[in-house]
This record gives sequence, C-alpha cells and structure tokens, in this order.
Amino acid sequence: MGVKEPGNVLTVGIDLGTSRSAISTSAGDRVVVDSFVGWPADLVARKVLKRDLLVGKEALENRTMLDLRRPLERGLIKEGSEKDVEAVRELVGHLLSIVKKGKEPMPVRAVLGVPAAALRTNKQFLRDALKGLFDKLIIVSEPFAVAYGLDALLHSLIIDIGAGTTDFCVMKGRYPTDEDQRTLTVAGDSIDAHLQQLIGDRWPDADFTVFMVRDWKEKWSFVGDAPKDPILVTVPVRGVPTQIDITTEMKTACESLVPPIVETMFALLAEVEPEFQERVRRSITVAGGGGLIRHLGPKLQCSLEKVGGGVVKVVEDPTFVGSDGCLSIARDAPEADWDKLGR
Amino acid sequence: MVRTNRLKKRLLREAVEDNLATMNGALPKPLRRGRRFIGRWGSMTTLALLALALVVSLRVAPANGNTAAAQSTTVSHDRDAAPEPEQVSFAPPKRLSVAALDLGIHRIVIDAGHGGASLGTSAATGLREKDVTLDIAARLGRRLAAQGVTVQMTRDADATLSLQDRSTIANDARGDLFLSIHVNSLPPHNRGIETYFLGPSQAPSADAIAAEENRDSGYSMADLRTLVDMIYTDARKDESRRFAASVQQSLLRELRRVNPSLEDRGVKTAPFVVLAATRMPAILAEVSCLSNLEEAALLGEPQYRQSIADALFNGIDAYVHQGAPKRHKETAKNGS
Repeated sequence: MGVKEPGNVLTVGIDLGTSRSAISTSAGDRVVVDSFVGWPADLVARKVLKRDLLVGKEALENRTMLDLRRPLERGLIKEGSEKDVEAVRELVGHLLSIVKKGKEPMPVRAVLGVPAAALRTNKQFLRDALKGLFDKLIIVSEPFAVAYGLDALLHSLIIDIGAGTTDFCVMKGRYPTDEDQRTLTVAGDSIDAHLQQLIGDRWPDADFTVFMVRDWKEKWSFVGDAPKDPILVTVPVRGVPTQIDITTEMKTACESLVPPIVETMFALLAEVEPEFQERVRRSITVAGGGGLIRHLGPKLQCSLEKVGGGVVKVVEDPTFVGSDGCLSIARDAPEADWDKLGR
Repeated sequence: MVRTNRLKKRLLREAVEDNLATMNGALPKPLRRGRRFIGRWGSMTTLALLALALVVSLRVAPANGNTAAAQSTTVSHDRDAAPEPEQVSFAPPKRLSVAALDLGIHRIVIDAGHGGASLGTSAATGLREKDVTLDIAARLGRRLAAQGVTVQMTRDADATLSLQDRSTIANDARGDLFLSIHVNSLPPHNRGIETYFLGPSQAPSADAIAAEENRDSGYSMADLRTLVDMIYTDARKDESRRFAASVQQSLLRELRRVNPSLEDRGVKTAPFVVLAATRMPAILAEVSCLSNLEEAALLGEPQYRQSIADALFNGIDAYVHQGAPKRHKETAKNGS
C-alpha cells in the first residue's frame, strides 16, 4: 500500500501455530520452528542437556528429559498456568532471537497471527505474556492474516487447517466478526490420533510414537485415490524392525477430516448473502499444514458441485503464508496506528 | 488496485481498533460490528464496577515497592483501617449462603457446551461435542429435577449461544451453582477427564503490569483480571475449587467402573470467560475425550452418557453435603 517503513525498525510477522510457528521479517529472514518448549525435567536432565530451556525440534528430540509444553494446545492457551505463559513467551522470544542475531539492536514491531479460537479467548492473555518482547504489537486471527497476504479480502473463504484447529473465515470486506468465523478441533492432531489408533489396532505389537505418525502423515498424507506405490514404514514389532503397509489407514485417517470441513464450509456459505455466494464459492483458499494433504483441494472442490460448483485453491507455501500475511499487515499499518498502540 | 488499497486500509484500521480495545480493557472477544465491547458485556457490569472501585483503592497504595507488596498493603488497609463504607459505592462480594449449603442450593445452572453453529470437537465417527454435551446436560437436568432442585439449562436444543448469553442466563436465573459441560480433544494416546475453575492469573509479569496500569491509566482489562482475582479470594474461589474437586472425583470414581483406563487430568484453573462472568461458584468439566476412539465409541452409547450424568449428579450432591458441616461451624463461630 506504499506505507514507508522506517529504516531503523525491524518489522516482523509471526504465525503462532499449534504445531509450528513461523516468522517473516522486513530484513528478508524467514524461520520456522516446531511449537514445542521444554524445561529439563530434573537435575540429571539439566546436567545432561547443559541447558535450562530447549525450543523447537531440539526440544522434541530431547523430550524424554523435558517437561515439554506445546503452548497452544487445541489452538488455545488452555491451562492458564505460569508455565504455559512462559512457554508462549519463550517460543516467540526464540523466534525473535534467531532473526535478530547479528543485527544491530533496534525496535521491533510485530503482527502476531494466532488461531481464531485463541484470539477469541486469549488475546489479553497473549498480550500480557508477550509484554516487553516487542515495542509495538498487533494481534490478529490467522485466517485474516492469510486473507490479507493473499489479497483475498472480499467475497472469499479461507480454510486454515492447522494442527490443533481448522479455522474458517469468510472475508466480507470487513474485519472478521464472530459470525464470519468458525473453528473446528478436527485438524492435523486429530488425524495423527486417528492414524495412530488405526495402525495400533491393526498391528497391536508394533511400537511407534505419535511423533513418528506425524512424520509419516507429513510425508504421505492423501485423500481420494491411493498413490501408485503403497505407503510402507518400518517399525519395531516385538523389537524386530518390520515393514508395514499403512496406505489404508492413512487414507481413512486423512479422509476423516473431510466431512466436518465440508459441513462447516456449507454452513458458512449458506450464511453469505445470496448474491455473493457464487463469488465466495469460487474463491476458497486452503492454507495451513492441512493444505499439504494430497488431493484435499480437489476433494473439497468436488463437494461443492452439490451446491453449484466452486474453486478451491491450496496455497503454494503453507509454511510461511501466515507469517508473510502478518508481515504485510505490519508493513502496511500506518505510523499513526503504530503510535496509537504505544509500547 | 485502488479499491483493494482502500479496503486494506479500512481493515487495518479495524484490526488496530480491535487491539486498542483489548489494551484499553475490553474483554477478550472479537469486535462485533455496530456494537460496543463493554456495552455488550451486561453481565460483567457489576464486576466492572467493583474493579473500578478497587482501582481507586489501589491508587492509595504506596507507589514504590513491588506489586505483591502494593496489593497486600491495599488489602491490609482495607481490613485494618476499615475504609469508610460510604466512600465505597459497592457492596463487598456476597458470600454464599453460609447458613447451610445443603439448604442454600436451590437452583443449578447447567450449561451444555457449544451448540448450533459452534460444533465443538468431533470424533472420527462423526459424533459431535455439541450433541454429546446437550444429551448429558438433559440427563443431568432430569436427575436434579427429580430431587426437587430447580434446574436452569442454558440451552435445551441445538442453539447457538455466546458465552455472555450463557452467563447472563445463569446470572438472571440467580443460580446457586454453574456447571458447564464439555468434551475434550487431546493429543494422541491422551484421554481422560479434567475439571476447571476460574483461578487467579499465575503470571507474575501480568500482576506487575496490572498494578502499574492501576496507577497510571485506571481501569483496564488487566486490572479487572487482577482485581477479580482478589475478589475471588472470597468464598467463590474456594467454593468453585471445592465444587470442581468434588465433580472430578465423582467422575473418576464412577466412570472408571466402566472405563478403567480413564486418566485423571486433574482439577485446573483457566481463564474461561464463561466462568469469569458468572456470579455463582462455577466450573467447567471436560467429561470425556472425543479424540480418543475408545472414548468416542463409549460416548456413542446412551448408557455411558447416563453414567456421566449420574457421576456429575453425585459430584454435585457430594459438594453440597460436604460443604454443610463446615459452613455450620463457621456460622456458629461468627455468631450469625
């Protein structure tokens, strides 16, 4: 929009997600970390790890020795405990420290995108938790940030499939209200849970963790027609590495996401004013990690045939679409607005 | 392009206004067009007035020293120096009917979580939280009504209700207890039940910020939270905690008979708005876990849902009856 950014300020957009959090900066940096924060569980763990805190992949890899937290379980800061507040702060602080590394100290302005459910209930809580990390902070809902970044602000529907929640937001050329948004807790985590259960049911002696299941999902998730080659993974079965075919289970778990998404999509479309419904149907965008599920876009698009057809696009870069959208907001916000937000 | 830029500009302004509203004390809820934040929060009016009045009292606390010291000074000032009641335009938080809880509890508000457009969580089988909570709430309501208790349901059909609608219903009905029923969705291999009550903010940084803002800018949301926490040091917090513990124990005890691997996820505090806005002891029970296939299958069975309703009933019953002797003693000691 042509707002001039001051040169001595670092402007950042952050997508605070249940599973991964990403940051994009005005200096061109883009970083993503797993949204896990862990503190050594005891003195022995602290001695082994030689650290007081681990964040992201490192925390996941050392999880057995940690009090591991995922700050935004189900898209919400749920427990309201000191540790959870600390976890959010440490996670965001970690992202910030990476992009600030090697740069001169300078004020930081941030736009933080959070799951719609967190924005509804934890906005003040988040603001308190992050106090002092930024000089100026705007918090927005993640689907709004995505819509803003994609210029899809009018007569469009954003479906942001994250780990903890699937957020829907109909953009009507206004800042989204309650009526424009829906949140489902059927999302990436529920696929993991379902897949884990299905594999466990079929191979009760197989030994695997949810983290392994998550990796498999990220590599091979699909809906609709199965891939030509079966999905084969190797797991210990009674201690013996064994190859198992999880193609059917993967399909069942991933497809469990489709009916609730379609139902919610129809419900939201039905609430759009009749003359605009077709335009919204033709401008549906799937963002978030769920966009990486093969054939999900076409599957959702097929479902629209019942109501007159539509177009579903999947964003090309789901990892950074949220943080890039936040960065766009941060860059476009006029100086006067930043000034109002104070310190 | 010009139109897009104009639209972006307007949306940015609205986003900033929304953030400013939060910073200036609006409750954490997205802006609804054409309505004002605070004005909509009718059920919080009393608490807001209490908060404002307490802000005034905080301002007389010493400016130096840490938050805790400032707060304790204020409390001590209130208690020891007995602030003149005519200067305080509100009554202190009303204690629960201390005569006897078993006699004092007549009206119980049951809140079936979600509903209408808010589906809540869903199981892979298609079972939805909003339907499960409504069914359990109806079963619990019938059991309580059979015992002569007046039951107020926040919803008895598949209807969309905001959190403030729910708390307004509870407050208008002058409920003696508030129980919100929900079903959890948890990471894989996790299952179980947990019960929440509203607790104080456990972030020291937030406390410090609240005290600072009390002195400099008057009433804000952060003040309200801190002050409400102080208010909750009165009967309601203890009662809500006891109520939550009683319900959690009962759920565990009864449901483990049919579901032995049920996990105890404990009694916890959380900033649930619906608990903040209700005036009576209030809890939110996550009675099962739809993300767990086994529990989802159990929830599909009417008998299991009845077991949950029975366990909730027994938890309420135990809370009411455990409370009575202690209250009687207090009453006797106070000579009232």
